[in-house]
Amino acid sequence: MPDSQSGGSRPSESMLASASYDRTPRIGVVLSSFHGATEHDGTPIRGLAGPRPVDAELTAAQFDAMLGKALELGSRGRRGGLPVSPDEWVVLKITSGPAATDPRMVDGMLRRLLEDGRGKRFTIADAAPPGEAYTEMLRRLRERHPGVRLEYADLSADACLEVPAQRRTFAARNPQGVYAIPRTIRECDKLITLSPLQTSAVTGVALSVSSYWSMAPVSVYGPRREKLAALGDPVDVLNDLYLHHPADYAILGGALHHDAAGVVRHNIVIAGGNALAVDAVGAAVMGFQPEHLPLFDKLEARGFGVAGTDSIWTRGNEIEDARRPFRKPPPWDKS
Amino acid sequence: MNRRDFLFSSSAAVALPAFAGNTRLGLVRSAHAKLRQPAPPDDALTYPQVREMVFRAIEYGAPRAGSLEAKIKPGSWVVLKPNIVFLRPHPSYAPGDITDFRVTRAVLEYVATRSQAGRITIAEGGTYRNLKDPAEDNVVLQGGRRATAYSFDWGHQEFPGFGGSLGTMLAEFRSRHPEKKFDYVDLSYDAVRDAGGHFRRIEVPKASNGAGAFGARSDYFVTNTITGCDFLITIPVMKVHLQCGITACLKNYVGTAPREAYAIPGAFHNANLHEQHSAGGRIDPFIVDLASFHPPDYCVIDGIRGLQTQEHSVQRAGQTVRGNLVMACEDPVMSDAMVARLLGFREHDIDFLHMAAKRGMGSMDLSRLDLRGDEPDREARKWEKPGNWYGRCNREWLLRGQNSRWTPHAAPFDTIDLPAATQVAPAAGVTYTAAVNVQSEGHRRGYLWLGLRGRVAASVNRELVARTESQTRYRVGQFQFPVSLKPGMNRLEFEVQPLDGQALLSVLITGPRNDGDTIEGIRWMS
Repeated sequence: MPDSQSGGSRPSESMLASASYDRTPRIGVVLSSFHGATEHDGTPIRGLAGPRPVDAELTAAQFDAMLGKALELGSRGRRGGLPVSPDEWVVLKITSGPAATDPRMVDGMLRRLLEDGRGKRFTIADAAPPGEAYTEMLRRLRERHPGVRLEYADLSADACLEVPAQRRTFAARNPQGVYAIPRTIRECDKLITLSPLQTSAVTGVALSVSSYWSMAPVSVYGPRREKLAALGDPVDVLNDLYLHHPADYAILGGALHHDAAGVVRHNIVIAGGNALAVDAVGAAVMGFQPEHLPLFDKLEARGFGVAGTDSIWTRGNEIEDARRPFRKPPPWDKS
Repeated sequence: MNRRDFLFSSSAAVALPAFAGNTRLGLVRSAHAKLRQPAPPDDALTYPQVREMVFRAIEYGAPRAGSLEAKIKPGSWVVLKPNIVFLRPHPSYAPGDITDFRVTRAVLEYVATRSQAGRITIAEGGTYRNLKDPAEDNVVLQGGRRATAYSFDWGHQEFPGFGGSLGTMLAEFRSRHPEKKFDYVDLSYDAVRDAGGHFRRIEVPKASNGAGAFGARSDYFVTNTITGCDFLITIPVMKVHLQCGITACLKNYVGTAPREAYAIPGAFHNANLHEQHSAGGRIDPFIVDLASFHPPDYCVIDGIRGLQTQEHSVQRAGQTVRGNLVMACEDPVMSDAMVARLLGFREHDIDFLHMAAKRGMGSMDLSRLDLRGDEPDREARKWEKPGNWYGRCNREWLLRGQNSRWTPHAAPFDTIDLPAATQVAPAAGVTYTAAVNVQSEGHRRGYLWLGLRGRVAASVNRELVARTESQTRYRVGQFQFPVSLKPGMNRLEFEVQPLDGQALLSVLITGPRNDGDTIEGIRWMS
């Protein structure tokens, strides 16, 4: 712990080796071109075996190597140290649609957890039926791991529970804080979000935390979730949804992303145990100032992590090297 | 909510009465009308203000002996046990984490000036190495030199009106009261040892009513000071606690477990205390066991500032809550029951209170409270509970045997292990049937929280309310279902089929807020 000077005539105070209280979020940032780096203490970080340009098509092995390196750097301990116990139920929340989660990220994450014996039940979840890629992925993995339950959950058809959050909520027109949340999200032990990078006209960026919007069932909130939007400022509503089960781990990236003008090709994976910090780094890579995004500002104020990249320990590529400015939608294009 | 409602709104528990008659508890807020300098509830306080609050609370909360000083026999060794779990440089320290030093000083002054105590010791064991400990972890430095709770200088801003250290305070009292002995004992290094110098485990003493230990292991490392002193005053700070709901008079005893015996290499907290003595997934058992070695003779509770959400810093603004109150009482169970209410919990949901009451340490029946001073509901603050909070699950089961007869079964903890409780092996085709009756004061709507390993069908008054299964990590309250109760008796039945050779179940009914508190106005009955 560094010495702290508390101002005035107070002597310096510090504590030596207070074990494992380092709360600085550790986020792995890995481009497909990652050649290596050094830690703050000078320890070398090995690069990818076969680095490729950030706009190149990657083989499955090259993509997986990029993912593996980001997981290693964005976690504590050996082999990624992913926060999953052997008997836990893990939900991997993906994003569907024009800006969709890269299935290779999901496959790589699942394989690693299964090979490490972490987790007993795995559910890939989104508010949409499974695509062919996921159906085939699950079939293949079930063959290899027959003792483990592997499934897909369409959250739009999932049973829900309408309950108040156990903490204070913020949406102005929902003072009781009651939300319909899919049981899969409520009952799982660990929630991992996997999202591409994309801009949003509403919140600036739509990353890990924003993916919670799609958890809200259309059966309750309407086909465009208009009743959800009516509950208040989207930033506050997202905050309330996030409260129900903050992500235990977050992964951003892939090969294809979306901005205001269309598709963006940028081979990158950003991963870590604090979703807000992961999103802050992702936003910075996209050319935003995360502290100036109201969603992140409020999440930080409400204790969900840090939004300032100065307070985040990025490992791998520096944000400046990873940056690939995204075309921002109005009104964010003016900031 | 008026005072009566505040005190008597939960009828969910009955504890064995331990203290005959009503128990006096003094509660003094900073705005108390009889203070020389009353202050609003949000104002920072001076030492004279805190001192007067403490003195008044002790007078209002007089023990059965008539006064605190009358209860302390001449020449006694009195130990004051505040909470000094951390010193300021610890990364998890925040204002409200430890007992306000002004409260401790005021209690010291009261005992020194009004009683005939012969020796007064301030004792605590916290996460800081002492000066002689060669280990290099958890060492606090101040001004470049090693510091301990005795020597750490808090300055003048942390506790305005208390400048300096414990050491300087005790030196001052030695000077003022040369007829008495004043000292400090670091309980972390005060473990009882055998003749060979090894740490010695001691069995939890049986209570006069025969109640024994509650922990997974009944023999503890304890300290010479706690077991040897004549009179013990617990001086906790009231806070929310991540694992047991609240921390106050009884939880304060965790600091009496000597870290030199319970710590693991490289760390200096009571890791092995938790490992060896927790039971039923709770730490409540060892809280009461530790207190059993010398239950509090008196309690003075610091409510000037405390922590919400959990008991140490979560690095979030607003975690410190200013309460600006002091309480004093002879009965630690009653005191903690009142703390539970003030922090927004139901005393029924604090498991260690049931255990302490079983041992005769006190009563958690707030209807027997003789409250003096200020109203508890005035200036009530809303304290945020831990995110994973759950109250006390049902313990009163009826189990249907193979002869279809129902047999009462009292589970010691939240979770019932059905194969073990029924003595029926979890084979394929086996179904365990468990039931509980719930007496409700009126119509109630809430949520049924189930912890489960196996497959369950749950019904309330013959209506199916839940059907689910789980083979993954067991968690109390993992599965939640809306439920309605009618006035009078309600019957809950659970048919559980084992999966993976296990059938575990826990049941809690929480209210419309779905916040983990037991719903108001019910009683579990077998």
